[in-house]
Amino acid sequence: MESQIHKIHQQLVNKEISCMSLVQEKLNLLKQNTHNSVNSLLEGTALAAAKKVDAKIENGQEIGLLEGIPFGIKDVYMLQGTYTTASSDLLKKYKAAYTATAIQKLLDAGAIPLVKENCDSFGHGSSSENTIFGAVKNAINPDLVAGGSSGGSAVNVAKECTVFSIGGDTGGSIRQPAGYNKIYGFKPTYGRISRYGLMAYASSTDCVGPIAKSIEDLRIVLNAMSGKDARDQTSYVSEAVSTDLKVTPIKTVGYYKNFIENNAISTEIQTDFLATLEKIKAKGIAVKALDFFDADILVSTYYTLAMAETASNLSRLDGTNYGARIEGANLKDTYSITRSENFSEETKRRVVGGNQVLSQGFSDEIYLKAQNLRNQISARFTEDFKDVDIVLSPVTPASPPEIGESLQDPLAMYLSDAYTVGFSLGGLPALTIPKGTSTGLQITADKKKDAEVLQFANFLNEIL
Amino acid sequence: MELAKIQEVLKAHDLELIIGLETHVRLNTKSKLFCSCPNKESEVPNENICAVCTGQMGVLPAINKEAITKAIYFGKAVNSSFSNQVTSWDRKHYEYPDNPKNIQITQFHNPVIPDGEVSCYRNDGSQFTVSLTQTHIEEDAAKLMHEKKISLVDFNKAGVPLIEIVTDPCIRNIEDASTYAQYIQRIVQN
Repeated sequence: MESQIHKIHQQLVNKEISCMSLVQEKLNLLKQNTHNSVNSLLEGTALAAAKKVDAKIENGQEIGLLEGIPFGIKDVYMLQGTYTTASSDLLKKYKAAYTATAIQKLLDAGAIPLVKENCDSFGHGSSSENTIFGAVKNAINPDLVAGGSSGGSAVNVAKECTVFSIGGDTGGSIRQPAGYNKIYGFKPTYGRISRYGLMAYASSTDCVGPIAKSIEDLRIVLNAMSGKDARDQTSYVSEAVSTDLKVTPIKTVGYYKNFIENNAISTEIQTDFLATLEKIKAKGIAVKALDFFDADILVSTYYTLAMAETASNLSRLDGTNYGARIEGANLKDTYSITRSENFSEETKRRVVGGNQVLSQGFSDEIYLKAQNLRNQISARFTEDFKDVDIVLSPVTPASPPEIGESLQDPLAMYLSDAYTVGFSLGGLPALTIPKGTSTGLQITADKKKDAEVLQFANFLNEIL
Repeated sequence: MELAKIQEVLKAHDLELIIGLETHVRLNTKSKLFCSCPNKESEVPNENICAVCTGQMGVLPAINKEAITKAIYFGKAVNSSFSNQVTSWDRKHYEYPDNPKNIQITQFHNPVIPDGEVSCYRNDGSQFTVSLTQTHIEEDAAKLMHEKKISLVDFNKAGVPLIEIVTDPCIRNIEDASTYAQYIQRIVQN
């Protein structure tokens, strides 16, 4: 699909549409909230911002490419003065005291936030059903889940309620819902975009990333948000990804044999993926089968670390400083009632699991072992990218489940992350394009090779 | 209890006194350990606070270089080997209202100063040496003020950099412990 941002920008500059009418039209769509994608609307500030953009155009002033472009924000990002709930009871009334760096950069570029978007509570889920605002419905088939945890963001983009949305990806939370709703979603290299102001789930793999309807739009938004931030010391200086996405030729593409040759993958996705590889070969690109860790090792390593980190990160939510406190007989009581009543079942499962693997007597056996496995996984990626430029994989082993299914079987839900969590553990850039299989294709390259990922995505778009 | 009486009781019970000390020293940096709030005491509660040092959602710690530099000065004064190739930080979990994140960021595995020693002279001119287990940097907690029915929290000192100087259990008598403490005071005041 063509770039929505360029198209709208031209329409605004040529005065074919006003920013007010554009924003109002999107707000009207969002108000209907047909797919439970909306947690709260930012109507007043959005219309005020749109009015300013219109005035600027009227005065003959130049506007930036992102100026006046309406976008959505997953409800785990701080935007000063707005409800920032993480789709949880505990933070249902919590208003952000400051603005996340990535979001501030978009505001500085003139983009207009419309909506805080529904998601799995604190990022805990792969279906956007773990939320107090109602399960998000899939944009293509509302009986199915939207995917998660950035489900509301993906659905809003797919339904054109927002031009782009900012999701968060810890183990696949942008890539998987992008695949389930047939749009584009990008998790950049860990550290390319500052995490400051993103509610931490698993700090060592949390990434900010864009969801949009074209690769060009991902590129524009990625460039706007990237850069070193003194408030996030894992962030780094990066060059903007240029429009000329044909710089380095891709010679070799790898894929992980054991992702494709197993019983968990649906026959349809398997067949489609192999057919895609043939099309790539036909273009003169070498395709190499690689050995990799089994999916259950990747999933258990990821969930061990993610649960440990989230248990630690969410320990601050005790209701004393902020959040929905429920008073008990004494301090300890207050803590436990507040947390028991206000955390969802899935969040409690992850907090208890995380504290278990961190506790004395278990941490060496489980947590440190997972740390060690992560190092092995990272080392393997380094090796593999000496041989191949790109690794291609399906996004998910199967098509989206029906709403309600995942809640019955959390373990099955964790296993549905099999193809995305490994790249998160490696901190690699990974992108979903809505082609190749029914839930898309995932394109990955070595660390900091975000430009190559976007470039190869453009190439696949042309040949598929 | 008088010093002499303690010695007497110890002797009567055939006990040997062994002392190890942990000393907290507040570093007089311009700003706090992980945010840019002033490291300054204030009569007004919650004056020098921000999202980071009150543990809001989404914040990240950004280390204050001056705190590391000042800790290294102390390390030099106690002859540390600085043998750590890497220094790292650990989260100490404890739940209490003076600890806004319910995790305190401290150093356990790879402290900035992994060893050291303090040589002291007693009043009689004899010498003893206290060896240090480690000295690490950590963030201070908030101040709690307990009133009749409620407790109030003042975050002005939350996130202020401290060094914690940990000695081996090598001090054999109370006078030596006191002398050591005076030496530490002299070192950090210089």
